[in-house]
Amino acid sequence: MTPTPTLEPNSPLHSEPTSTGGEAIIEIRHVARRYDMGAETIHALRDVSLTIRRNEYVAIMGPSGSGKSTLMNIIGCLDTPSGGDYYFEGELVSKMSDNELAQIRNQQIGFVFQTFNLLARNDAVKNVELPLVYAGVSRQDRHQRAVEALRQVGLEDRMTHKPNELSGGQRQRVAIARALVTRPSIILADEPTGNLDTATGVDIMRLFEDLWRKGNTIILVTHEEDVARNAARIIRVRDGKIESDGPNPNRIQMNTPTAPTTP
Amino acid sequence: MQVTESVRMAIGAIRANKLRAGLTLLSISIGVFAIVGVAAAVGALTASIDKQLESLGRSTFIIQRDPAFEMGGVGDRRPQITLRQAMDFKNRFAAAENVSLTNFIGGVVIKFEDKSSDPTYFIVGGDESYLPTNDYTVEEGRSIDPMDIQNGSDLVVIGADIANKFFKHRSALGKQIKLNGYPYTVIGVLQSKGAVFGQSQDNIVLIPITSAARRFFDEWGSSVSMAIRAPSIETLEETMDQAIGLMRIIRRLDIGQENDFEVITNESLSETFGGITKYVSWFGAICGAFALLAAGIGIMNIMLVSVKERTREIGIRKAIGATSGNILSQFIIEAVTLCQLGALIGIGVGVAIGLGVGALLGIVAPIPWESVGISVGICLLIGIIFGSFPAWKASQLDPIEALRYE
Repeated sequence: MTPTPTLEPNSPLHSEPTSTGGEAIIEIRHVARRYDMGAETIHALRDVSLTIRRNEYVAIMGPSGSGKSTLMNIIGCLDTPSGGDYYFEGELVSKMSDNELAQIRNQQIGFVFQTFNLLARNDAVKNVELPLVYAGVSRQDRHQRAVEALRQVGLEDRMTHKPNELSGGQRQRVAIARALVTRPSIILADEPTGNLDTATGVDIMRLFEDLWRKGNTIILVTHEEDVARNAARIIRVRDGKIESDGPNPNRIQMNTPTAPTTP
Repeated sequence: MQVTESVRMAIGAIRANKLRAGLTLLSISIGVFAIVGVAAAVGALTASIDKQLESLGRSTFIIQRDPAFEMGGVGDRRPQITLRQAMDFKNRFAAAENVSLTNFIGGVVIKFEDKSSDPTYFIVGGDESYLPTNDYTVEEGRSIDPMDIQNGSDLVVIGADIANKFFKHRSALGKQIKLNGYPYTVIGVLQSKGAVFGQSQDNIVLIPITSAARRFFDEWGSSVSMAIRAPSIETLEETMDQAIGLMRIIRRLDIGQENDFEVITNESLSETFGGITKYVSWFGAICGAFALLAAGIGIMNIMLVSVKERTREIGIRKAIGATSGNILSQFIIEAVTLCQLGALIGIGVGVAIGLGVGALLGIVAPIPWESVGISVGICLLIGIIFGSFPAWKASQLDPIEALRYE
């Protein structure tokens, strides 16, 4: 039985964060991404522009091949655009070197993957500590902050478990803790419930909701309507272009946290 | 990221693949063992020989025809030092406290009644000072005395092993044995001295050198060696000069001619031996270096496999902020750690071998620090050189591709 993720008593449980009020974290201007495949050029993204502000909860949706993964890779600074400008916290990342990108990924972005992507040999704490290793945080501070992050996702009693000793939901919580531990500007989640059963998936979405309410900026990449419906804003991508971008009218409210139902 | 962090990661990675890492370690260990083990064994041997030379006494030197360690066959072109010359020298050389004459005849068959040995025995032709000089004690009977030398008597003193072999529960004294068919009467049996380095010291057969000359010299063509003891260490140089002068007169050498005999001192012996052991050590080091080169290629192979297998891990690390430099250093440090663990084992076994050889020789073998240092250095280089390419490959992986890798 995993304990409930605890909410701070004074968290603004019933006040929805505004979706337009915060400063811009991500500004994408006319971004294109082309892949040269021999004689052929594939246009994965054509002229995409969007802005994401602090404490937004955005879902990027689209079928496979729509370009949403490419967009996610660019937002996540894993890839750079072939054209256009990308500003992250006001800095032009589209022209940055690999090392500078690595630093942005390390300090500003928290990744959550569909397949969790934990290191099998390391226990939960060590996995969560990993970004801090590359940030040059001392051993002691690292441990302290990793424990704190694991507590935030309700895994304080699973800290010394290795990934293969944890359930899928618990593994994803470890991954979320790893994303949180550097206190990043955005949490970028790629199909975070894709490898989980429905009930566990609901728990994870509830955790994202909770994190959002605590002030985090969350970007979900998904092709599932059910998952996207949790977000406050939905950006639909098709054929490398933004098809639609606006507030989510059918948002499901998950503002009453309940205990997760899976072990 | 600090090096200690990388080393910790490397040890984790090595522990995750114990068998594979173990086999790679083994190849490194063998190379290091070749370097350190040979050096340690040679060290033990040298220490032992120095000790034995020391027991010969530092005021003693030897004059003989051939160099102690013959590399080119100089001796063959020199006339023998005949017994006549040696006796002449002994009689005329007043500066010495003692002159002892010796000569060895190999491939001798010993026979008693119907029992016969293989032709593998050495006969020592010696005088009354041979036994004390070589630390033998007579257990039964007597040693050779000056009268026996003068008369050239056919008498023999035998070692404990020979006594046991031919005379098990009987006394050997007064019995007649045949050395290559010549009859000799046993006058003494020696106390057992045990074995040195697996070689028994109790197979000795000692006969008067005059008898040896009469019976064996024509047949076997042999040269006498003379151990000369100076009155003191201070007079050693002077005594040597006089001995060389006298020897040149006896050998009828003209002023311009080079000595046609060797003068061997403890110092020159250990120097010559040191030269030889240096070659042996270098040989070990070169063999080890080649073994390590092969091991290095093994390391590279293992690291390439490891990088391939851990593609996804590399992708994860890059996604959460590892730079190419972080990944590069992580894998190089992993290769170096692997090499140094192997070196540690090789050094351990090598030093143990040295101590073992030392124990066999009854001495405490010195630890060959120089070789240990060289081994650690070579392993560091090998780790860096052969780890670099796999590490570079790892560092160049595209995080997106790497994350997708199954």
